[in-house]
Amino acid sequence: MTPRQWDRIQELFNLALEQPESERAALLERVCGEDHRIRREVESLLSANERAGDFIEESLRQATISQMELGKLSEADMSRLFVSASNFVWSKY
Amino acid sequence: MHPGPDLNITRLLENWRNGDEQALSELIPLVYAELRTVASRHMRRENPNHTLQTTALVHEVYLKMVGADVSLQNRVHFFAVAAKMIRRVLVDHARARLRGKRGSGAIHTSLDHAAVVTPEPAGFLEVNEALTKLAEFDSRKSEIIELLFFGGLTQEEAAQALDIPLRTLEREVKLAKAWLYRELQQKEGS
Repeated sequence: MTPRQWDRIQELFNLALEQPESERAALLERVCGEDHRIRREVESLLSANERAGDFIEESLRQATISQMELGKLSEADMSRLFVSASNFVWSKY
Repeated sequence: MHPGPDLNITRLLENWRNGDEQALSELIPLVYAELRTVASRHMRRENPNHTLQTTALVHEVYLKMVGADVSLQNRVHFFAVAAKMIRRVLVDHARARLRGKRGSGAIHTSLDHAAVVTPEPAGFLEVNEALTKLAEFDSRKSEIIELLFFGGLTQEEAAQALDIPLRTLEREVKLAKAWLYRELQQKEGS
């Protein structure tokens, strides 16, 4: 998937969500035309959106500080943190 | 060690934001030390479950270290770094637990907590992996998910801190979650 395709997928995903569910298929049919791959991708994400619920919350619900107390970060962890944090760029928007 | 909001932290956050990587490397151990201090203080307190959500922990550390600083940019940078730490700690812990389950080493943890408190390591690690995969082609969404779920910012707070309309943020989150969820389902099915 190219960045351009991902942008298009996002655009169509958001557009579809603004429509009533019953009109989404027709919308995608109209805007995707022959591009079945993009259409399948958007449809599959829309369907995942319906089912996702609070799955991240569920996986984190039990995450508490007793782990924090146990977890000492290694040097390697600290380096990874540094790399990840230095990629956090405020001006992304 | 820090008697209230720390001007040094504000300075480090600002310097980091202006591209000074040395400031970031000074900031990381300071924030981490404070997370650990606050966490262990909570653990000693009379507390029925000896638990505190990590997100509440991050907020408390924020108030202690940066509270007086009203700059939204500093705020979001602080939460970004703290959220990454929490994520790292939870991942390490879940991996250690998984290794322990497989019998390759005992994990030092008290039983009463282990049963109730830790996330199901496999499920949590899968979410973590999917998030790393998302970051490869849309790091912005992955950063937002980190801020919300590991840093504990509300969607309103995150939108304000990132200076984007709430509606834009909500759309980013929705698609990020749908993508992550599908990724997990596909993995499960394969």
